[in-house]
Amino acid sequence: MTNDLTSRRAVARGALRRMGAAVFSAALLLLIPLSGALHAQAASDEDPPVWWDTEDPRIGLGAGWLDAETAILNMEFLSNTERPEGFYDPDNVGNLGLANSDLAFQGDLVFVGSFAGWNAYDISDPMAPELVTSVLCPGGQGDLSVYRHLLFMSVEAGNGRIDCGTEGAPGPVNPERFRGIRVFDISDLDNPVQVAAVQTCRGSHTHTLLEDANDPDHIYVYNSGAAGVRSPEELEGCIGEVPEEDPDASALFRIEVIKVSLDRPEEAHIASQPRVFADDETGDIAGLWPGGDHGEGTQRSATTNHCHDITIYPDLGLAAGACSGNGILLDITDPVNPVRVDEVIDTNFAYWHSATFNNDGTTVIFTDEWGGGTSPRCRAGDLPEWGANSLFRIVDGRMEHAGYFKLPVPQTDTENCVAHNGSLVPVPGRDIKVQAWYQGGISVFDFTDPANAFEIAYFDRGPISDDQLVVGGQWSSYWYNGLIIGSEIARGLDVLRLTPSEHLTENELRAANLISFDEFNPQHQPRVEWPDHPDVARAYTDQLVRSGAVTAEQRQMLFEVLDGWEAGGTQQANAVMSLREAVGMLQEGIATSSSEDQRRMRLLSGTLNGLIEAAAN
Amino acid sequence: MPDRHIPTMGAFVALFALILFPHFAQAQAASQVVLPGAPGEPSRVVSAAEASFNFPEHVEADTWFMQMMILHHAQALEMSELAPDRAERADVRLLAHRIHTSQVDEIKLMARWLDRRGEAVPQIAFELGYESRSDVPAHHDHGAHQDHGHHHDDPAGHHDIGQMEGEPEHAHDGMPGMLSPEEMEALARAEGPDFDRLFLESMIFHHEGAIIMVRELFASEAGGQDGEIFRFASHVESDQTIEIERMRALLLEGGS
Repeated sequence: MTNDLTSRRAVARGALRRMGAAVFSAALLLLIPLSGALHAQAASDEDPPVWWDTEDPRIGLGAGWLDAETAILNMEFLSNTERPEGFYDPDNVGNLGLANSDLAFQGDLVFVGSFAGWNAYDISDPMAPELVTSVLCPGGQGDLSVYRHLLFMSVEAGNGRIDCGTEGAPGPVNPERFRGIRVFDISDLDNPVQVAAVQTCRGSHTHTLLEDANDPDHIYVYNSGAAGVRSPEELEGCIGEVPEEDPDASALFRIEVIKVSLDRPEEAHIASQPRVFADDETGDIAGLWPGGDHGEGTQRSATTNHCHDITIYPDLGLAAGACSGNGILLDITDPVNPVRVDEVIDTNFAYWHSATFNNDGTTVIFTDEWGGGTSPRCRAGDLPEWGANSLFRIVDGRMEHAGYFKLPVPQTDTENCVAHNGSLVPVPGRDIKVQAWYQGGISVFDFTDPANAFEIAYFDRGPISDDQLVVGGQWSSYWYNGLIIGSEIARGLDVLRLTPSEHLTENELRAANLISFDEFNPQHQPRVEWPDHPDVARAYTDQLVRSGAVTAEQRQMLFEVLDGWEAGGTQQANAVMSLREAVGMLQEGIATSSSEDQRRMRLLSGTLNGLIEAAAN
Repeated sequence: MPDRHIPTMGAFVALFALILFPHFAQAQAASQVVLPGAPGEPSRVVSAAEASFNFPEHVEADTWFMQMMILHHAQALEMSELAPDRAERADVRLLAHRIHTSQVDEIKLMARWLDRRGEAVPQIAFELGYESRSDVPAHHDHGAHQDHGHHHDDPAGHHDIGQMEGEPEHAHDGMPGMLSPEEMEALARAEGPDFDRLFLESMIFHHEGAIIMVRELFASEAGGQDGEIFRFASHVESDQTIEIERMRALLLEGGS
C-alpha cells in the first residue's frame, strides 16, 4: 500500500498539469453522491458533556446584522460605529474582502484595519467616535501598527497592488502585485501617503514592531508571512521549496526583519531573514520537524515553516511566536538576530495563532485558530481544548503547559468562533485578558492561576444570520486607556468598558485606569508599572479580602487610613504612621500565608511604602 | 446618594432597548476617501462617491477550485468515518474526528461561497445539511459570469452542470490526492494497527493533494483574486500542512 501511495504521489504531480481533464469526471461527481451516505457529525461514542451553564444569557440570542440581540455581563456598551460607506457590501455583509481586521492606537486615535484599506477614528468621546480618515488600499488582512508618524500595514492577498488600486493583480506573475509591508506617513491624517512598500515572498499575514534601544533612528518590523510563496519570477529569491543543494535559499522556515529609518522610511528594507526554526546543532533550517527525517518520499515543505503572529515583550527581551505547528520563545536582545530559546507542541492545537504574555512574564497564552476564523468552532460538541487558549508557565526560560481556557458558552453553527486577538487589562496583582472570539463576542477572563482561568465579563451578539453562517464577529478586542475597543468584522467599531462586579471591584478598575498609553500596538507588549497610588493599594487589599487573607474590617481600617493620606496635611502625617503599622502587620502576615497571598501582601507593602515615602517628600 | 424615584415606563423601554439593541449608533459615511499611490507618489483625496470600490470578481478557476475541493473534502469525510469502528489508537480516532469536523464546515463554507455567486453547489453539500439561503440567487446562470473573463481556462464553465454529459474515459482521472475505489476498499477492510497506519498514510496523501490544488489555483491565470477565496485557500494549505506534520509524527510514534 505504501508503494501504491508513493506511486500515486507521482500521479498526483502529473495531475498538476492535467487538471483541466479532471473537470469532466469531477462534473459527473457533482451529480453522483460518493459511496454511502456521509454524515454531518462524525460518529462518537457518547454525547458530549455539558461544559457550560445552561442558563447563560448568551444562549439563544436573536440573529441580525445590526439588530442582533445582545447579552452583556459586567461591562457597559458605549457605542457602535458601522463601517463607512464603501467599506461594506450591504448585499453580503460577511464579505471578507471588506472585513474589518486588527487595531492600533495612538492618543485618541484608533486605527481600524480592513481587507480593503484602513479607517481612523477619534474616540475622545467614546459614546460617539468620529471618523477621521478613510484609506482605500486593498490586500488583506490589513493588520496595522502605528509608530509616531508612521503607520504599518500587512498585505498578503494576491489582489494587493503596489499602487493601492482596487482592480486586483491577476496571474501567477504580476509586476503590479504587492504582498508585504506597506508604510504610510500619517503626519497629515487628512492626507496619508504611502512612503514605502517592502515586498516579501509570502506577503505579510501579521507583523510586530520592535525598537532597538541602541538605535533610536530606526524601527524594526518582524514580518510573519503565512500564505504561499510567490514565484521567483515575480520576486527574486522566492523559493517555495527546500532545495537539497542549497536549503538556505528557501523562503520557508524564516521570518523577515524589516528595518525602517524614521527620517527616511522610503529606504525601508529587509535587514535579515532569521532561521528561527533551525536546529541548533545540525543547522537544519527545519529544526522543529518532529522526529527528524521521515525518510524517502516525504515532502519537506510540509511542516512548521512560518509564524502566524509574533508578540514581543521588549522589557523581557522576549518574543513569543505562534508558528503554525509550534509555539516558540525568541530572545530578541539583538533585534535583527532573534534566537529561539524554547519551543512547545500541543497536540490539541490545529494552528498556533497568537500569543500574550502576562505582565510579569511568568505566563504566556497561545491561541489556536482552528478553522482559520471563518468556521464555527465553539459549538457544544467542539472539544473545549480545541480552538482554545493554551496557557503555559514560563519557568527558567522554558514553557510548561498549565491549562486551557475557551469561551465558556456554546455558540450556534452559524457563528464563526474560535480564540482570537486580545490584550491585558492592567489590574494590578492579577492577570486579566480581554479577548475576541469572532461571533462568540468579547470575553474577559482572569488567568492569574494559569491552570484555573475563569471568565469575569462578556459581551455577545446573536449571529448575523440564523439560517446560514455569515462571517463576522470580533476580530480583535483590546483594552486601551480605560476602554474596551472591539473591531467587529461586519459591524464596525465597538466601544465598551468594564463595570465593577463580584469579580472586579471598583478599586481594581480605578487602579487599572491609572494606566494609559500614548501609543499601543497590541503585539508589542509594554511592561505596566503601577504608580504608588491609594487606588492601587485598595485594589490589592480588595484582592486579599477576596481570598480571605484580610477581613472586611481590616480593609475598612486601611481604607480610612488611605483616605487620610489623600486628604493631605496633618491627616496625611497621621496616615503615614498608620501605614507603617500596616506594613509591619503585612510582614507578619506574609510569614503565614499562601504563596498567592504572600505575593499580593508584598505588592501591597511596596505600594504602602511608596505612599509613605511620597508623604515624606 | 442617588435620588430614589420610580422610573417611568419610557425609561424602562429605553433601558430595555439599550440592553437588547445597543446598535442604534452611528453610521458615518466617509465624506472623503484617500486613494494612496505607489510609494513616492502623492495620494488623491476624492469624495466617497468617486472612489471605486469595485474589487475583482470570481472567475471560473475559483468556481472550479471550490467545486472540486468540496468533492475532495467529501472523500476525506468518507475516510474519517471509517475510523471510529476500525482505528485502534485513540489519537488516530481523535484526529479523524477533528478532520471530519473541520472539513464538514469547510464544505458548507465552500457551498455558501458558490451559492452566493450563483454557481452550482455539489449535491454532497446538501446531503451534509447545507441549505441555500432564501436571499441568495438561485442556481446557476453561468451566462451571468461570461464577462468576468478568463472563463476559457476552464471548459466546465460553459456547461450547465445539470446537463453535463461528461466523458467517461476521464472518469478515473481524478484530482490529486484522491484515493481510487480500490484503495478506499482496502482502507475499509483494514482494522486495528493496520488501519491506523493506512489511514494516516492515505490521509497524508489526500492532504498533499489538497495543497497541490491550492497551489494550482494560485498558479492559474486569474484565480485567487476574489476577496474570500485567497483566505480560504491559504488556510486549506496552512491547516492541512500542519495536519500532515501531525500525522507524520503519529506514524513515527506508531513505529511503522
